[in-house]
Amino acid sequence: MEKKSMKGYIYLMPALIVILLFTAYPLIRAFLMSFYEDYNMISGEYSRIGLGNYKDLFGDKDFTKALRNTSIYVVFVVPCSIALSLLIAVLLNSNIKCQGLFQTIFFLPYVTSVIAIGLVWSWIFNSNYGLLNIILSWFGIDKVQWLNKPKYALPSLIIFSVWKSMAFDILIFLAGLQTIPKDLYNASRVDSTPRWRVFWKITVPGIAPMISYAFIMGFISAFKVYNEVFSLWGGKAGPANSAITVVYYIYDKFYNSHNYGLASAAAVILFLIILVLTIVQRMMGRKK
Amino acid sequence: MDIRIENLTKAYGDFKAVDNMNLHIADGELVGLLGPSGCGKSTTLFMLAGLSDPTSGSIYFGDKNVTKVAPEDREIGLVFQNYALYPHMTVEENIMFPLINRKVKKAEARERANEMAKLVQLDGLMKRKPKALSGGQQQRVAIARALVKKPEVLLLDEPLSNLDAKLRIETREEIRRIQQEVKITTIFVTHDQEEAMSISDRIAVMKSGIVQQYEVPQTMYLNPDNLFVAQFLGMPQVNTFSVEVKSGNIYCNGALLRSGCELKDGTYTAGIRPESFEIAQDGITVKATHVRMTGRDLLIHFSIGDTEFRILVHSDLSIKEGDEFTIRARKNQIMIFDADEKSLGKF
Amino acid sequence: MSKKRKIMNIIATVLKYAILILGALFTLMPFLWMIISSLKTPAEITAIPPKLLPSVPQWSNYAEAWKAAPFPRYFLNTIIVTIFSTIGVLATAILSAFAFSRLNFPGKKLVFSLFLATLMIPGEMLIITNFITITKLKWIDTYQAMIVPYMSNVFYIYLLTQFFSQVPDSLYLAAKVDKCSDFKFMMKIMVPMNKSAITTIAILNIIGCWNSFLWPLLVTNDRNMRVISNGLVRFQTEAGSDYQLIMAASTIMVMPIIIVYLFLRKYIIEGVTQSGLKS
Repeated sequence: MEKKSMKGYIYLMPALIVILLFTAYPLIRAFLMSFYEDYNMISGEYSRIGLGNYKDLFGDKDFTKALRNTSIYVVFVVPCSIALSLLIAVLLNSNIKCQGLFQTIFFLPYVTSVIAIGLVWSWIFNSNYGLLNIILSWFGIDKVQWLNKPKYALPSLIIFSVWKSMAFDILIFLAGLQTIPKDLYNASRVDSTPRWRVFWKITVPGIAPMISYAFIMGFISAFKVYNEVFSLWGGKAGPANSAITVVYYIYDKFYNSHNYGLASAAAVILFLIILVLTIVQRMMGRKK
Repeated sequence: MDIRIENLTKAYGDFKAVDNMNLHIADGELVGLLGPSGCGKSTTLFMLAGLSDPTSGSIYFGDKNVTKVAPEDREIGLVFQNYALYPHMTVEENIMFPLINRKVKKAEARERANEMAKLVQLDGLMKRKPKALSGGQQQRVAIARALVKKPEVLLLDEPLSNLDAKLRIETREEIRRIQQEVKITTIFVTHDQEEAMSISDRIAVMKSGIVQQYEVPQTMYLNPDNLFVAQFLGMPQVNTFSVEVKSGNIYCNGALLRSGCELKDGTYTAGIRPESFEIAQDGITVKATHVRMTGRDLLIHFSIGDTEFRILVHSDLSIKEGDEFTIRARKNQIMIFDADEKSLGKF
Repeated sequence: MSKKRKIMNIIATVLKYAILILGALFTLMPFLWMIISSLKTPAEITAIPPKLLPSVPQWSNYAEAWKAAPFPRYFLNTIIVTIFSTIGVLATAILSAFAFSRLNFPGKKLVFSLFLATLMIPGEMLIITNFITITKLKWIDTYQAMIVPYMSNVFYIYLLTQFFSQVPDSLYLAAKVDKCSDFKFMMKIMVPMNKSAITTIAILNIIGCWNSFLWPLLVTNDRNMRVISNGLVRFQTEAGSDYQLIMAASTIMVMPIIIVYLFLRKYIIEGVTQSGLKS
């Protein structure tokens, strides 16, 4: 109906410039840089083009550790958060007083700064004066060196992250639950279906798309974990690098060691991981 | 201002939405573009508005060829089927909007908007949002907004289709009254033949992009140019059936309908409007198969041979289902169409 | 209803509330602990055995923390960055969404898909080159370094395009006949009609800006250019074991957003929900 004209591009121009300069160009550069060996950012020189950075990367114990840590982190945080959130959301969706108040509370972590609240968590985890050890002492459990012992570093990080990511999951699940027609529940009540069956046969299928969405979004954001680490250990990656993650590795390599090639190679790996996850999500989305 | 449409065509690939249309609309006339959906009437209106470009042909407003003129420069008022009121603006702001765009001063714009509101009887509702108005009131806001800039031409796209039956009759009278008061050349699109006939000075009936007939409503109803127009106008629909003509006599399934006609022998399609039968002493005796009371009239079904007819008679007649009665076609009320469905006259 | 069913129902209800209250406490615990700790004396905060509550709330901790580091400056920086970035994000989103939903231009579908494709790219991958770009532009320690790269948000463009597309065509045509230019139509009709969607985007962006950390950290060295989150982290290393002050500073940083959230939670919750349901 409307005639084609170039006018649209005038409207798109501001967004287009920003995206080209700060998204498209750096994307291509990151790929290129990951193949430049001994790259010098200032002069733009490099010794040769090759897979050297990738070889170095997978030979670097810190990177393999970062990959392993990130994977463990993802595997614990995402399902834990989803399971707990599902429980809370289902309870919230049943006839509950103060539903609005509860919802407001549960969503609070989503809007608060990871950095600020991370400082609080590092204080909660404090082995001498932290709230967590105070509570544990009530049950006669000895002090745990949450942030100071490598073996507790990841668990601390995971507890903090589950707390943080539940907010989003609860919200999404609650929205999903509210789209399930009430008639379905009424019908199952008339048929005197037991509660657990109602849950598995009506509730879960009803919010299956939300659950898969929460999984993918959870995976994607968990693979990018960084601020949480930074704030818990004040800029370090835990005792003896025990909580190093992929993004922490990227940041450390280019900002502290100025190894742009290596950092880019790690970023490309992260991109590929997220790309695969996004494609999986698209395919699941299409199946519906 | 008069409007001339010359050889206007709008084609989408092989499909011609409007096919070589020619029409002259006299200054101050209210013309209805009537036809079934997909007949090209809305496309014509959008071309008149300049929102759609013709494939070929031209449109003249007065002496000016406006075919290539942008919609905003055509001096037209346009009313949409869904009114297209801006939901976040009050009635007053909606009506003022075209004036503000034309850089009219705010005070003057407000004054003119209020004048317009009086004309369409909206005074008192100026501070409301469209959502708080009834359908009929929204329609009048849309008309006021279209007229406030004093356009030369008013175009209305299905202006009544979103209203309920009672409001529709009120509002169409209202449109006619406003049009008469402003004396603006107006074209409106409708698929409702009664609506078109009741308020138009002239009607253009369209089918498959082609104007079938362009006439004053009464003439068109009584003397349709072809079978399509005959069928499209009138409710209940015209009875159409096949007739034999033999030496000036018209027969339907062997029953004599009329004698002494100047028609060549042969088979024709005939049409008689339901109200064009009369109960008579002599004629064809038929049996009522259905009788429906509609208020003013009785709608009676009967058959001649295996052709079914519907007729309207005055409701004080006591004819019940199964009753036999005698009818005849009133004088000059049998329309005869040739093989191309063109009218050969009435007999 | 049988007696057994009745008892079961009561137990279920009690359990339901118990879990919810426990969950709510778990969620609120860091906030409560933050505020409680911020009101303790240095002695109370490191008391052994630990004390749960301060005997006298030390409100002076807030004043002390506020003065201990250039927090007013951090706040000012954060506010400047947040305001300009939000204006930028809204401008680019409104303009682009209008182009995608109303205008017809060659390559529209392709450009739209390319825009959406950028959503798959992790921002962490881009910071390396962007950091180099900012360095080469000599933008280190400037506001524009923190504002410009984030002035276009594809996700908001997408969201707003969806909303703009729901405005009926006839409004656009009516406005055209009424001599309304495209730009004016966008400003006078599209924007006011989608006020709440635009507000939602603005709020989400404000929250995101306020909490942003890594990028501002990278592009600022000068302590006068730090935003609040960077300043807070720096303060933590400086304050050492004065946890009551760190907690007070954290509270100062978190509070403005919590207040915004409490007042505008409808917009925020709706916005995040919609983004979840839409994608």
